[in-house]
Amino acid sequence: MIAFQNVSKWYGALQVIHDISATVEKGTTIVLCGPSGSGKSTLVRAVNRLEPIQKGRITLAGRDIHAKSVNVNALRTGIGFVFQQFNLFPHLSVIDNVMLPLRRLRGQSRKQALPPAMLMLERVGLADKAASLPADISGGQSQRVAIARSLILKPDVLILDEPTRALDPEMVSEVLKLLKELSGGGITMMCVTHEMGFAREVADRIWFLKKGRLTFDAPPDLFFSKDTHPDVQGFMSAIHRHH
Amino acid sequence: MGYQLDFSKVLQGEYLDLILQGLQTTMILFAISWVLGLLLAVFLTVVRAIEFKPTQFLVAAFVEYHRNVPILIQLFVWYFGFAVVLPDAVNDYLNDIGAEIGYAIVALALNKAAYMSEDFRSGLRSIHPAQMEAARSIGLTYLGAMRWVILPQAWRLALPALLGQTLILFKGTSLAAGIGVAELSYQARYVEEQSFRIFEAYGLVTLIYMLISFAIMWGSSVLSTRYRLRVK
Amino acid sequence: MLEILQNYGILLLIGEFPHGKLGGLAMTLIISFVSLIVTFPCAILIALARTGNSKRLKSLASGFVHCVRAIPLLMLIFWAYFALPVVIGFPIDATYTLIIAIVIYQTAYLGEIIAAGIEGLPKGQLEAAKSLGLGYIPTTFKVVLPQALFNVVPGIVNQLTTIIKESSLGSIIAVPELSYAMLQVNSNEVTKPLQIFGILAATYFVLCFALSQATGVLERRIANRRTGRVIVEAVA
Repeated sequence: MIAFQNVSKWYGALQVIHDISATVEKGTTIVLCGPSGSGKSTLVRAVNRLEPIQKGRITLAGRDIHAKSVNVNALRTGIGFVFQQFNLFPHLSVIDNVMLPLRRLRGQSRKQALPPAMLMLERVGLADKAASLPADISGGQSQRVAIARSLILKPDVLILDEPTRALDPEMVSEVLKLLKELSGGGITMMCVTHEMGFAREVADRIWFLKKGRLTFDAPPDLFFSKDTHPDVQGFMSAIHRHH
Repeated sequence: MGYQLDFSKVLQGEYLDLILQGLQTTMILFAISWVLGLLLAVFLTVVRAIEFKPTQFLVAAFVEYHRNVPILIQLFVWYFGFAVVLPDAVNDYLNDIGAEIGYAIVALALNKAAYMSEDFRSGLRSIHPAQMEAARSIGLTYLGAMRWVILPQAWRLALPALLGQTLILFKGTSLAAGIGVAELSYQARYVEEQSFRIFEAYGLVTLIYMLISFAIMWGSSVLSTRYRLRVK
Repeated sequence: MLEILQNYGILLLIGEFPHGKLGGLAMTLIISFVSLIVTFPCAILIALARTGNSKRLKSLASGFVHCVRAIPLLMLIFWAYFALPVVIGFPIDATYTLIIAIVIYQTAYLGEIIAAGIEGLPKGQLEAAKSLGLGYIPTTFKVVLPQALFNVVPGIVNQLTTIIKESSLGSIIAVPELSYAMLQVNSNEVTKPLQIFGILAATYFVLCFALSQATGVLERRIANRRTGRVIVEAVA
């Protein structure tokens, strides 16, 4: 579904992605982890063309997404993107946030957009918050609305950039539970997170990045086994010390 | 002090007519300058948002001129200064149709445009860049993101300041008296001179100003609350 | 333009002084500074009333502020210049009436600025003072006002800019300040109004632009100092 071929990226003279090659199979869930500054956010942002790359190719269903001929806006409607800080639109109610893509990109009327948007809110368990403003709901609820908004155009790919990092601990599980439900539904998912329990349970493959390099790409069984990469062991013990 | 307050003189006949005419002129000045000022302010904000140094500098110079020179002097520049640039025939015609009010509208509208564009600009600047990124990540074009995500927030953020400018403009219309526009303050002076009813003339006009100002203040607080943008 | 400056430069700067009345730019500056200095204590009183505990004083101050804000400055000047002498029974110099009107007007605005400065102080400051057993007067003058006034210095300088601009209204009641001097020049030299009012606008611009730049610098300095202080407190 998504293929990275020798992808490199620089910020000025600083190289942040080093020659990464990997593939994401259709319908699978990839969890990206690694120390901060390892380039995992940059890599997933490049899939949505929020970041340009200087070398290599990223293809989505066989098409080079950074090619000039690709309409970036059409590309993005096929990829849901969820940010660490939710980035809901504060002037719009919850339901209006979810309806916005249908109304402004699909040209639907409010009446047309309302039923699918309500259905999506029910799916994330927030139908009762439809009329609330983003300022009046919790962080966990905000992130679930953001996920609903990113799914409303039925994208083939869902990318999540540290979706639980800005949340209070008690709200992390509600978001992870939703993501777990989604990952079984046939969507291709790339999720940057440090939630290792989630990775073990949900991921088909886990990518470990360090200093811009993809140093380990393994299924969870291997990733969490004794035979894992030495970098991963160091990273895991650092995480455990933290928690 | 042998002064007896007697409002009956200014509350009827010719004097009341003059004051009401003044009120009408004040409201015309206020309404037209407000609309023109707001439109020009939007235009200036857009021009300044476009990354092109020469036009950005011009807008900045326009804004700074209007913020750092007294409005009365801006009125003088238009009324006394601009007239000499025009041919005599045009001037004669303008004087016949009462050009003062035109100059006053131009000066007040330009002045408000400068202030209001600054309010819009700071509204725009206080929106987190992540909002634009989120809008684009959905698949909206740059203009679409502006139209549906950025501008609806920007005007809400700018609203309290814009409403403040509205009150300042309303009071500022009184300065048009300085170039002979027969608006409310001008008529207050005139009626006072004619009738010798100084407290009644000023009292009535001051009361009118206060009532309208209070209405603007009340409307401002209602609108500001109604459209307040709450960001966590 | 140079010719105008040559012929009228002195008038523009100091009016007819020393042979006649002081005027021009010097008078504009004097009026502005005097107005600000007289406004200052009045504004502090309004601010204290606005932020104090007495309900009655609070609504009195708030009523004053709202009423003054509802009236054009020009109307206040008319009241002071034309009506006040009738009330007190003797004429007052136009310059004084201009200052009186500006002081009343600015008391409302500067009062709000200072009140905002007082309300912006961390609540802990007041509680600390109270826990030391300080009464209202020492708390206000030793703890609250010094900090609040320091933080609103940019706002005060900004009001000086506003006052300088507002003093141009003196030309309407023949106060011999800068704008009035130029109106006189204009009636002598009827053919050059664009140059004359250009010079006038430029003079105000230089003065007010410099002050507003200074305001910006002060704002940044004070903001830095405040955040610096927060860090020190956090470390301590």
